[in-house]
Amino acid sequence: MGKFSVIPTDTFDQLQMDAGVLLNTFNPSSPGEIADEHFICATTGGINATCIPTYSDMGADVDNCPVNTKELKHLDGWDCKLSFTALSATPSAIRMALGAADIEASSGKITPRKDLKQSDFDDSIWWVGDKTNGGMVAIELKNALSTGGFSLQTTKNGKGQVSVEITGHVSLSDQSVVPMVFYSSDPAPAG
Amino acid sequence: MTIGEALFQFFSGFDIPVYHRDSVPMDADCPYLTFAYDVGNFDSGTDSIITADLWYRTESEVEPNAKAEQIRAKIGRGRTQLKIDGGYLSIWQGEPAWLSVPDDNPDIKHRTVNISAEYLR
Repeated sequence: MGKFSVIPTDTFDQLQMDAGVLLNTFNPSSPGEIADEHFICATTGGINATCIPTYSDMGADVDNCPVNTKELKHLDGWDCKLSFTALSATPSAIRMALGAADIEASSGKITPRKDLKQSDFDDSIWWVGDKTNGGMVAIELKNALSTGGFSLQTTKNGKGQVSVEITGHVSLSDQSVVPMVFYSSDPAPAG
Repeated sequence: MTIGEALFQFFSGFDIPVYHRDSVPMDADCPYLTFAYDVGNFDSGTDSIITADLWYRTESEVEPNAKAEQIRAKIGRGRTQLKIDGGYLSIWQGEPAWLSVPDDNPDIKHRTVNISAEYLR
């Protein structure tokens, strides 16, 4: 075997496995059993989480300045999203996909709204997944709102699938907080 | 822990005697479970196969079906990791999860539980 054909010794302890779950609440410091009412929806095809920075090169229009000079690089912001395909057809799942919408609980009617309300934002939406060593990986999306709209695809003899894209938002009350936070932890030692 | 030891330990959690498929004692009494496995490589692109066979001497379908369901439920949704030397044996329900297999002896009820696996080592 070549000297450089090796892998880190903890490779197989730190693999993220399976699709994970979407939750409306989660405590990463004490991740116990998940209550049924904490699930947002069932999904298919896994979950895609992205946290993409946008940079400006302040030296771009400076004569003789090399491209990508690190001292002149400026972080403009972050684009934080969770994208997935939902299988649930509950009123809350449909409302979540629509974003600005209201549910009439007695009739199960969901009506998109012309105006956006601050209450349409979810304080936090969580994705939580397993690691091979029994630990967990979690992503919290803050001030979450569906920005991809509602898109349902049905098939003969199949399950209806709703494509959902949820974006995290910064709040004026704390403009330094990026709306996505990550956690990766190992299981508590036995005994 | 070797692969065989890890699987023996896993299958020993179902309250019936466990043997490797090729090491069943001549005087083994039903019910018992036999298992077999192939050994694959990490990231080979193909899943490895593990089979657990249940052998019951009974006229009823209830007990062997319940035991097969118990194994299927233990594996559960998603993957289960079994610790082995060098890493993990990652297992999940195969397709089909289990099935009834006809036996020449009408007193024998035979079930095969299919398990897919990936070697993470």
